[in-house]
Amino acid sequence: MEEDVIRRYVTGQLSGAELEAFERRLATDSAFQQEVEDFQSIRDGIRLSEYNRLKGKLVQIESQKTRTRSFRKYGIAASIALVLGLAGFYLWNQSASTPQALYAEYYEPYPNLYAPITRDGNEKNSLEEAFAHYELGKYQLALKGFNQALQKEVDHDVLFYKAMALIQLNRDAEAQKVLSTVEKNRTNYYPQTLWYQSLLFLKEGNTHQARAQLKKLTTLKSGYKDEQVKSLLDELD
Amino acid sequence: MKSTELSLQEKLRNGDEQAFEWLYNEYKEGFLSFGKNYAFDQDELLDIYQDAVIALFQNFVQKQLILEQSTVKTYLFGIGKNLLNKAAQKKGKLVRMEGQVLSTEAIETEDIDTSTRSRQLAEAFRQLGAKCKEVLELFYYRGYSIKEIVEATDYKDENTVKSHKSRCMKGLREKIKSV
Repeated sequence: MEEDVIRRYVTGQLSGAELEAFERRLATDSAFQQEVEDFQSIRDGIRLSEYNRLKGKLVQIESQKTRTRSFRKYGIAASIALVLGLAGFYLWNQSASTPQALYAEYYEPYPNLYAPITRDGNEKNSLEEAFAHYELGKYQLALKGFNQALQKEVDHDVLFYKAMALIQLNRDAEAQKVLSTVEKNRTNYYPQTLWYQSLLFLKEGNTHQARAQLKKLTTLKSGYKDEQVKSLLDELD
Repeated sequence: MKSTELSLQEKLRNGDEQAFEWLYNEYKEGFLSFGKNYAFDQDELLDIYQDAVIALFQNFVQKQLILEQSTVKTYLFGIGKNLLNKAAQKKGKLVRMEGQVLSTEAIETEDIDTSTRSRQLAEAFRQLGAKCKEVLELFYYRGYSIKEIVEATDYKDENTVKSHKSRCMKGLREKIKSV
């Protein structure tokens, strides 16, 4: 099987005559070359995904340590707060299907898929830097960078990320305004735009509008957040 | 070589995440004081240390590393030193050499590919179900053959693996379009 020999090549398991034959073919057959590149890019993508997952794990280990430390420090006060917190959580849980609770359940920050962060690039442009801030959760700085870039040139993809940063900064009304501009322009991020508009409507308690955006998203059949859209619509009905 | 060292390497090759966490905790303090020679603050050092542990772990898993001349610890500090140097260069920060001289040799390790394409793939992959993640990870990331996948999992036979794998790839390609 073709893909198997590619797997062995990429993972360094080819040698001798087999390796020579492979490299000869690689040099002459461009379709084959494309296949090898595809394999490599899937491998890189999974490596990145694994990196993200492992990094999350380590960050969590650290934040747990800080929490236990401060817990010991504040002793009784902390346990009282915890009891109160649990009571609050219980009450909140009772009303889990309010629009705001649904928002909290479904909202997650949009990952940066726009500009690659080059770790060794020397000449960083400001937009790249803004996306690097976005990626690191420094939304105030990211927003500043996006605004600067948008003054020079209106790019609707950048606008979308500006809205994402605004949501993170709890500037919902502004985010809605930006998103409705993006929606009108039907960009690459059209499905995502509808999804986040819907979530913001939920947060306001406007379930009617939230549902309307979800319906639009369903008719697109884009596949974006398919399952979440379905289950959220179910909860709203 | 001590048997604990050998069994640690074995666990890392197998992608044992308990070993990964153990390693992380074991050398953290040591690395943070090693990194004091560089003008980074504590958070930056920790961030670099985390990246070094992850790079080491991914290298063990993907390349099935066997270290004969060095220990996991020296390998880890070597990668860490390389990452420290790169980060220092990037920030234009000078290395403070008044402390101990860093005798550890820096070890080059490949950068994580963060191109747009790779990010889309990673995000699409993250959204896949557990079964699909497993088969794609074994084949593309760890480089298992179809036969080895049958041995390592509860798939019935090679044909089941093949058809499941191609269904998962289709799912992945579709998700890429929508992330």
